[in-house]
Amino acid sequence: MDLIKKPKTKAQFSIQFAWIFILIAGAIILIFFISLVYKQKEISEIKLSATVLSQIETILTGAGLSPGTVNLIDMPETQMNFICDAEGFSEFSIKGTSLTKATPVQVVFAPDTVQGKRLITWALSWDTPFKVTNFLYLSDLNTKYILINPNYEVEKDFPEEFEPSIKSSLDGIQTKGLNKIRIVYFNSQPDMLPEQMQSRNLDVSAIQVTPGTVSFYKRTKDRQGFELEGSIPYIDMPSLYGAIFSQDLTFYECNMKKAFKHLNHVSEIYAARESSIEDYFLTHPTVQDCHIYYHNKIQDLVSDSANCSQDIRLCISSIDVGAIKDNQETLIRKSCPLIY
Amino acid sequence: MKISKKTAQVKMFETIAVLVVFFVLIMFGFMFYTKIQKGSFEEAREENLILKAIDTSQKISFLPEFQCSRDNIQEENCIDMLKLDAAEQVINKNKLDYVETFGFSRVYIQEVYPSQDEWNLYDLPKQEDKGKISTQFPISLYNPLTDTYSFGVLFVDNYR
Repeated sequence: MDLIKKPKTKAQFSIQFAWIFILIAGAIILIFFISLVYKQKEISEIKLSATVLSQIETILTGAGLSPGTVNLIDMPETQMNFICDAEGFSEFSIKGTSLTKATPVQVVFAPDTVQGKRLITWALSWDTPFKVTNFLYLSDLNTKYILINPNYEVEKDFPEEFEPSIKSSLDGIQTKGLNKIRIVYFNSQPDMLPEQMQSRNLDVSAIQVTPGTVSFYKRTKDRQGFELEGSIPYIDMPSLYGAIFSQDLTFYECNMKKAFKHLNHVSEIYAARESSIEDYFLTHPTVQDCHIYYHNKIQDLVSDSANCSQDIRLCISSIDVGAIKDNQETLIRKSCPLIY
Repeated sequence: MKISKKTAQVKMFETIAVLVVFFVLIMFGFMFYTKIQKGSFEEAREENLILKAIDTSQKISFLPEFQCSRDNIQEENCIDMLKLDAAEQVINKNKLDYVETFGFSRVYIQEVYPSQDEWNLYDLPKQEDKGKISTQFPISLYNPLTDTYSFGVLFVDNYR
């Protein structure tokens, strides 16, 4: 009887042990392959985000090289975040990834977030009076621009691709499907907001444009009106459009400082170039006496732009390109080599 | 009983041996895959360096610091020689502001005809010297003093 029992018990024991062994070994194999798959998935996602970031960077560079053009760019459903802060730190990133691209030099005016399947870019050349850089303006289809009593120049130049609303008041504005609204008041004070613009989910901001100055407003805590954030001068239309597209005063100021820094470098080169031309004609006189027409007015621009790159509020009114333009026109009339 | 015990042990070792061989094969496969990936990463990196050189040359062609212009109308594929003279100093004085544009590279221009002038515009090597990839681009150089054009070569050496 014992002999019969023992083999039966042994068999049961060995079968159970075998199954336990199978389960453990199988689990180890499964865990190994599943972790491999997850690792590969992670790597693929990082690779895809890096590709998207790199392609967006290429698109932005390309858009920035074509001044006067508006581009509608289809892309994967993404949210891009833009930062340009008071310390001059500037970058953009894709939400949900740790990938970022620093933009220490590019002048990009954009809301803090741009999302959706379509990106709208507009580039304008910034000339003071010679070309310094291209300003790039970005937005998406979920952001609305409302221009209240704009002047003729803005009404004519503002691209239709951004679908601006040109109105005399905020009545009748539809907010369905929008994430952000930017209201631009020309020579009038910001109004109280209609009910549909008081939603917590809607980011509403405003700027007031008066000759030479732009004032930034943010929505009050009760979301019914606006309070002043600050005022800052602007010198020309490209910088005014920069104020329209910037998320806030800090963002605008940060980008303008970058622009003035670049102006400083370019004007230094033009100033040295003008000196070289003047020195050449001093030793190689011409019939027109070209050497007497080079007045080195660009040197003032070099120092003004250096000041503006530190604090644009103090210096922007001193930027005067009229003298340089007059000098240039004289050189054209005298058929002498031009300053720019 | 002893025989069946030994048989069971042999069976056990057989199973373990199969598993060990299986994992060793997986490991070899993974090492092979990693080596292939490494090779293709290196290839992609080299390709990216060349693309970056082309990107840099395109940027130089469009930068107002170098581009020819007449009354603010930009001339394509032309570099102003007087601007180069000044840009040499301005860029080296403000190197940090041009790192984003040029990266870790050496950018210089040599006039080929009629003279042999050279302008060293930018040089920022990496701390570790792993060599460089040199790319050359033919360019047109304009002298506003004599209103004449020369041939030149733009060199972009990207450090690895």
